[in-house]
Amino acid sequence: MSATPVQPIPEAAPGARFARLSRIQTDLPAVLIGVAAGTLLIAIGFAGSRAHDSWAAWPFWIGWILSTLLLGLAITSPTLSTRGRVVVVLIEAAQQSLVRWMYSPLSFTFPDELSHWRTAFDILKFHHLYHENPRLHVSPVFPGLEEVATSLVSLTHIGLFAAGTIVVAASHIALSAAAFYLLRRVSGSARIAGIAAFVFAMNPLHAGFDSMFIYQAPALLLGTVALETALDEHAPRTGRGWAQVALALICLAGMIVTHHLTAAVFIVAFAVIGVLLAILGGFGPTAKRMLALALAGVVMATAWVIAEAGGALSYLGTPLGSTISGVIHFGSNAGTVALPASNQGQSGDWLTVLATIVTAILVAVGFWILWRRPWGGPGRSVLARIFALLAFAYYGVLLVRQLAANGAELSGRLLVFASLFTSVSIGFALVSGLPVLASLRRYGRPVAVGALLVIFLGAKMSGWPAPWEQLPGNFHVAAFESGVDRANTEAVKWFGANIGPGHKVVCDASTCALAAAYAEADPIPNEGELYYSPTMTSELLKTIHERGLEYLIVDDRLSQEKPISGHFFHTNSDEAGSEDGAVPKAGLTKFEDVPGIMRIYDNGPIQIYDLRGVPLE
Amino acid sequence: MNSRREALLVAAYAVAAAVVLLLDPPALLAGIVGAPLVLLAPGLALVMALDIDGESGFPMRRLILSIALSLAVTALGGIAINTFVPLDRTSWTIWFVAFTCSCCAVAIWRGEEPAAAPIAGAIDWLPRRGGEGSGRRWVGIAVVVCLILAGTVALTQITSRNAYDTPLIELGARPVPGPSGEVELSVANKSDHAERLRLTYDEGTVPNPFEDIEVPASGRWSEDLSVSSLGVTVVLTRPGDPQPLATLLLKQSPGEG
Repeated sequence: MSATPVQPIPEAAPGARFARLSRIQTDLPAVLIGVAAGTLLIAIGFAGSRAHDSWAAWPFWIGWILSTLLLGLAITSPTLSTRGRVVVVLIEAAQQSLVRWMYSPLSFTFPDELSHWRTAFDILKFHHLYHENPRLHVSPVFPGLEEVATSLVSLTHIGLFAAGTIVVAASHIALSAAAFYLLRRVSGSARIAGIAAFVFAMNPLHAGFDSMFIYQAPALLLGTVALETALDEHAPRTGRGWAQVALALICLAGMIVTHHLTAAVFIVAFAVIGVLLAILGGFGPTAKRMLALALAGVVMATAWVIAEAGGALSYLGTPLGSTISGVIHFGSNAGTVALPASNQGQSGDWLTVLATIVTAILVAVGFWILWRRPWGGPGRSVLARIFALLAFAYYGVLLVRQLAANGAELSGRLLVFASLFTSVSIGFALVSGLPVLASLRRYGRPVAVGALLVIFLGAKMSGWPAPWEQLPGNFHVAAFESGVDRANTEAVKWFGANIGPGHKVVCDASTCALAAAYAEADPIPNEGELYYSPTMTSELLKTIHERGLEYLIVDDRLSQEKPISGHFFHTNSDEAGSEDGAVPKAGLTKFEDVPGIMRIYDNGPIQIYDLRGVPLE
Repeated sequence: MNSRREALLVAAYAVAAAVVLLLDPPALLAGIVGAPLVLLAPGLALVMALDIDGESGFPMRRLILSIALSLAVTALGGIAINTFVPLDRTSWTIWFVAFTCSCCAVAIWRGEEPAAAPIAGAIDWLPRRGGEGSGRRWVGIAVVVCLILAGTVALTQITSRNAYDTPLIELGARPVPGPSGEVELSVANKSDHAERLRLTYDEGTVPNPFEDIEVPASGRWSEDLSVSSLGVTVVLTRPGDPQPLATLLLKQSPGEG
């Protein structure tokens, strides 16, 4: 251990310099009212967007910026109590959950949410787990999220949408507090932990993706709690070491049956942290505990894969393989680096670049601080340095984004986990970076708040929802949440009620997500050629017969616009970033002239065709 | 309040909640009573059974642990239940009550030196009178915040519902079970006003007489239709307006799907 005298972290700055500002920033009631007002502004923006008013973006952005500034001022305050810091991160998470609900208050609209809806619906219908989900095959064998939601439905008879919303909101809000506790153990400082937890919650997918009805939401909470518990050095000292291990094991087990990727990442994290602790801090109780839990995690995960979840290996293996291949071959297998938004040349791209640069600098500064000056006690100091080392995963994520096929999506997903580590470095950099030089000390907080705002805005530009659907109400065909409206929802519900479950239905990406959820269909979202071809060729007839396609759903609007997300239909990952055009009108009307094909439904924009009588040639 | 008393309270709540839920109360009440039974009580009972104590510098930690453990316990418990019995209201209720009460019993049994109670400890984070603000001030702030958020929720519900409820008219045909080869033709009016509509049947290439119908707001009209070997084109319009609202192209059915 280092013999350098421990320097205290400035938890509470001297009163005089910050007295005037501190009264404002630590006034939690003002923050609470301000954030509530910000949320109302966002709601006004959403309302304006749904009415197609041109001013809608203004209250939306003002609301977010106001909220972020108030929360940022509070969390960077040197005089805020520990309880106050927990309250601030809870307010941040609660606002994110509320805004997520405000974005889609009537039903789930993101395709993954609709996939999990189908799994939950099947549990409620059949009263058993593991029914096949044709749209997301691994979902039924990782049923944690759906079990909690359906148990709530079974007990209370509230709807599945309400139950799912409550479950993910509770998970999302609790996760912010759990992240605070974890980062508190790592950093040894409530102030740094508060800022780090605040930054963690600003990673691009956290507000808009991790607050959705998806299995990652509860799994992240379980993984974070397991990790925090494992790093707890207080429990063994008070004779509760066995309880600590039991708690971590229960959370690990719950995480393993809830989400594959989160479980894999956290188990690897347990092992890596354990090894690094052993190397840097000696093979003490914490290192042993981490490695033992990693081993237990591997055993439990293996048992689960053997028992039920064998499909997860190929589900995770394919994107992992293409990612590694892309990086090794320096991008020769890469699609573009851009998220769908960037394909459209959005005006906010510069914010993403700026935020990336700021984050990269802060991660480097935090590393430099921690590896030059150990803070707190020896255990926490070693932990902080380990997290700062692991924060370099951020640069790996940037590499994945640049070089891997479908790198944009993969990097976004990986950033969620990397943020647990980068947030520690950023926290140290923002608290201890500028004040290194006495002449810059008075600029420390304004710069910190400015950096937080930049990171927030950059995350908004590169995160979820995509920039072209930040505000709801503008329909775009097959465009994630924006691709769901009354026409395709009611069409799918008519199909389910009148034709029945289990049919193979060809459709665009959004309609297929709806069909899987509400019509219990077996959706086929990857037969774009059936639409794009202006004539019905013998190859298409052969495809219909070979794949056993029974019905086809046409959205007239496919011919009225280019796909804003790049594709109307599912494509291979190596086509990520390429763009399709609008479907020619002839491609949508050709079915009328084919003997044996019937149009059995029409509501204006949406038609449903029965393909079962189509001739062989 | 000590942890023994809290354990008794949690166990009593679990039993009371189960009884209330079995009486089929309105959804709102059921949600308020039932949500903590799923999302909080099992984990809280387990925290007490494991004797996880509070820690300075980690406010509300046991409450957060309770939520996480409730999720984990439900996920794992459901997998176990599924092996033996269906996952329904009965099995879930028994599971939550039994697990919660068992853990509370352990907490009560082992409580020689009860740790500070989790619920009381969590409540302790609220500002005290004369501490970070007077109680009355906090009540006033809570009222203001609730009013703002209530306005937010109301605005969201109203505007999103208005945006979603665009008028929609559906024309559909589903096969009638049996060998008749008929289809049930239906028109659904998903708007807030009645619609006078016209159905025109073009059998083969011969226009047939039309049929005027009136479908009430949020209502449905249906009729069985025989489809000949020539097929039928069904066109839905408004009387006096040639622009078709919807069109069906029906041929003799290949058989049930």
